[in-house]
Amino acid sequence: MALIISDLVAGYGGAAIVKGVGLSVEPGRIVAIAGTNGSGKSTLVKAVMGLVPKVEGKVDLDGTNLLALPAEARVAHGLGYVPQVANVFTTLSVWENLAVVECGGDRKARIAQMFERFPALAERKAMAAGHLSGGERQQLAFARALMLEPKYLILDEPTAALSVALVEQVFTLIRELPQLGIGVLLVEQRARLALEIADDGIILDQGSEVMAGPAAELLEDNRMAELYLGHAPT
Amino acid sequence: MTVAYLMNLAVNGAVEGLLVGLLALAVTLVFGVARFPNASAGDVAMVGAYSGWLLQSAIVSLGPLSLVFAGVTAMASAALVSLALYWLVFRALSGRVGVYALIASIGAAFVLRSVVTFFLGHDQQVFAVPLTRALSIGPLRVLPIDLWVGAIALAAMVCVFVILRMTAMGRRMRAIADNPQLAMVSGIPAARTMSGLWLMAGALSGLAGCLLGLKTVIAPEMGWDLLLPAFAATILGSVGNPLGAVIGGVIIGIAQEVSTPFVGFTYKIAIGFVVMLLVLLVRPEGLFVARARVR
Ligand SMILES: Nc1ncnc2c1ncn2[C@@H]1O[C@H](COP(=O)(O)OP(=O)(O)OP(=O)(O)O)[C@@H](O)[C@H]1O
Ligand SMILES: [Mg+2]
Repeated sequence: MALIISDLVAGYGGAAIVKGVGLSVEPGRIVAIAGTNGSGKSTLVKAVMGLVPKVEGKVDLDGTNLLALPAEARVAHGLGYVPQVANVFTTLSVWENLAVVECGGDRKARIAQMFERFPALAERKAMAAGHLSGGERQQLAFARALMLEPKYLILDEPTAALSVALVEQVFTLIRELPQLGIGVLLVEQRARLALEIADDGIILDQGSEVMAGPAAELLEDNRMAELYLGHAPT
Repeated sequence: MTVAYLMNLAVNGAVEGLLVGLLALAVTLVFGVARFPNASAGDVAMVGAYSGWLLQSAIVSLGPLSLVFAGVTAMASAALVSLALYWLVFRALSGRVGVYALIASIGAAFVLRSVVTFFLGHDQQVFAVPLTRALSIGPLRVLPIDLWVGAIALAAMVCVFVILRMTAMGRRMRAIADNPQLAMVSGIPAARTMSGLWLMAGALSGLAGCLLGLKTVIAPEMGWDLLLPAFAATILGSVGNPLGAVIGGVIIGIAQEVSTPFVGFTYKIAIGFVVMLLVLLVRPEGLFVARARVR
């Protein structure tokens, strides 16, 4: 059981943006994908979700070849995704954002669960998601993705636009996910921050892997500092 | 020319405006979700009007009840034509920029009109409507049929708003309009939702065509003639905003009618666009904020 990505090449029609990347996530583990601005992190995860026009390679989810499936079907196989931007339906209310998710099973009970887990959202049920604060919005984005009870969850820079206090709050949320048996693929520009909560990590530069391995080892590696020289590692 | 005369024109314009608004609602819904201006909406309305008329001719002995069946037939047939256009034409173009679908929709409009005129000819037709006297309300003289037409158009609009706001299908449509990629990764079935959208837009168009046929006459060009003010109304009310489309339709309907004594019948369509252009000069985004989309 794992989400296994191998030799993934992806792009938007011109030159390839992601140039042959491989990694694997097991349930209950966190894998960090780090790299500078424009290194292809988002393109990589979008390709896994089926949102990029040109993709080659292999993506295997618990034995299913995902690349043969459209995005909606990948979701049905247990792949969740919180995009980097535009990660809630801004013109739908908070409640509608959850109710619109096509999950099997008891939708009402799941919405209730989410509101229990994120009390701030429960208080703003009827508010348009576009009016939420940055932190609440991120909670809603998580809740929307969790409605599908994913086996694997891709988070694309979930803390990018948040204040320091909120970053801590979101990281606490992420740390709880493995306890639910979810395998997490966490994209972060700030490598150090991500590797501190991850089990494994991969560092991308210009669409290729430059380093990969257990998070603890990567944190020790001198090349990390070199790679991030001038990029202010966090 | 008296004030009462102008007021009567305004009332008549408001009823026509509701029909423009009905078609504009269909156009704006499709624009909000499928993201192109659907120029076939008018001719789908025309198909609806003709199928309603064909059915009524067959069951005219039923009296006024035949009109009810005609309306239902108009909506059903237009909905099916609209759905067929989605599956045969627009679905394949959904990944491209809107211009492809716009041009395809103009083509579809001409095909529909050709098919109808090939089988039914170019002659104008009328529904068999019982003759009634105009009601006098103060200085206004209103035909009962106009009251019916206006009331049915309003009721249909209320239904659309209820569907959009209160049903799971409407929620899915608004989610796709808001953010198609996020809708996809939320497992929202795109093809099924789009089918629902095209059925709804088609039914609205068919009703608009049938009601216009009741109020005036049924003719092959009726759809195109209704489409132009409907496009103006869509833009006037901020593209993608359903309530805006309806209000835009009423404003344009009234402006067209009230202007006829001054500019003559031939130029009334131009007046609709003049009103639209004037409003856009002051408010380039339309009367309502774009943020309030279908959405
Ligand atoms: N829709 C698109 N069409 C064409 N090129 C794109 C598109 N999206 C991204 N790119 C290009 O792909 C490259 C990688 O972008 P990507 O968003 O994957 O980087 P990233 O690592 O996620 O960066 P960031 O940390 O800023 O989010 C960039 O050069 C970008 O310009
Ligand atoms: Mg990114």
